[in-house]
Amino acid sequence: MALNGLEQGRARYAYDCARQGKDLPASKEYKSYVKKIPALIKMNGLGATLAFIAAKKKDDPRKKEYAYKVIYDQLKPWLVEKGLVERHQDLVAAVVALDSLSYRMVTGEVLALFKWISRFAEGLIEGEADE
Amino acid sequence: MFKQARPFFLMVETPLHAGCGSDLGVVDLPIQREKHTGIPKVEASGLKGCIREAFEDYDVVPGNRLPEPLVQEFPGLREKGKLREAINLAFGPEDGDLHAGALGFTDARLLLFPVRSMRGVFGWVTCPAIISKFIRELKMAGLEPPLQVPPAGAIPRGCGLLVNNGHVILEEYTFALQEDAACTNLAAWLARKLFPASGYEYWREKMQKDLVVLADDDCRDFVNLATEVITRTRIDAQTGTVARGALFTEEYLPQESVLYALALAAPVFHSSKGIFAAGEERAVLTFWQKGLPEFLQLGGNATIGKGIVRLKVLEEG
Repeated sequence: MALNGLEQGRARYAYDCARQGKDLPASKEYKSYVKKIPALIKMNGLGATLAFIAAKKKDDPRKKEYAYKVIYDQLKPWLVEKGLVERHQDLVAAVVALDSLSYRMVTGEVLALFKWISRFAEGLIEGEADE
Repeated sequence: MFKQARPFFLMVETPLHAGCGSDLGVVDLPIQREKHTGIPKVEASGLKGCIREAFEDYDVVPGNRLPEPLVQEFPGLREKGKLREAINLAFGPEDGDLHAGALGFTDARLLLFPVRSMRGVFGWVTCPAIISKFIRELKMAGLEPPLQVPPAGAIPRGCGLLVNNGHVILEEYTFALQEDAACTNLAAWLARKLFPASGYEYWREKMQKDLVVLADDDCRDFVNLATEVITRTRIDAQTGTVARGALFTEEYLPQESVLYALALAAPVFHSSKGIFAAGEERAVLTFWQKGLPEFLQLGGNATIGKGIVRLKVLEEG
């Protein structure tokens, strides 16, 4: 069965994300962050979690927090493709501007995507981050 | 086939974790949910086991005496071995599959879900789908509750959650709601049925005014996103710091949730009827109801005080 059929292509996209995460210098961090993010969303809400990721991410590939940047950059194209966020908008700004119902829809979508990413990351990436 | 049914409520007094194994999802240890709706539930097998254990404790735990109403109803229970026999007839024998028990239970289904509110601390959220199912099951049990299903977006008269003209803020979401007669009636009925006559005045009053009937989808989102998630870890005794790889998350149904289930009774499936002289389903139900403790511990993590529920059988009228 093609992965495209699984949850509207979500699994396929998540697999590509996890593959990209595996090739990072900070692959262990990538794995531990994607596993942690769903719980963060459940405890603090999507807006607060995205703001947290945006604040943490670093542009230097040698830094651990580069993994946050990769995650942040992986999330937006998927939400754009799903028609939930505009292409030209900043992700955090777009999400906090949503109405109640769309906000909960996007939350559900992001949770579902991270479920898959963390499953694949668990399988593809060895070792644990020292946290 | 069961001949009689009696609904009862389970009020969650401390967070309840009726788990369904581990998951590679949002939380490591999620709670049980209905497959087709995602609404939390408690499997009947767990419920039945807990209730059976409560009855067996009258036999084995020193100082745990049989409730007076139960002994008055069935004086035969004073004889040695009679309680054990009655438990086996009602719940089914412990070993072998000689005969089925005469008592059955349905899954405990969610009726009211507490959600943080900007005003009034929290409100109980429910929806037309849940209420109509609840009323249907009461009718299935042969009751005629004086209830109508309120429309989505309804609050009782005098609701204490309103922040300004007709708006309630739950978690971080705003809802426009309207007072509704069916909702007022439902809230008053539930407040009467759920709480004992004395000692729960605050809760009765709160439930009469702080019930919110949301649209089905909104309610479904809350029961999915607003459950309690607790992070746990282990401290390495050697170093006094967090042990590696020991971090995990657990999901709980928050305290103040309200669930309901049906107790079902069939005639006794055994030639010797024990204390149930005529072996009727009515006697079995009476045995269950009179012997039921007020509090029960359900689900996981009993040693950290989780899963204490208060039971209340639905009295007719």
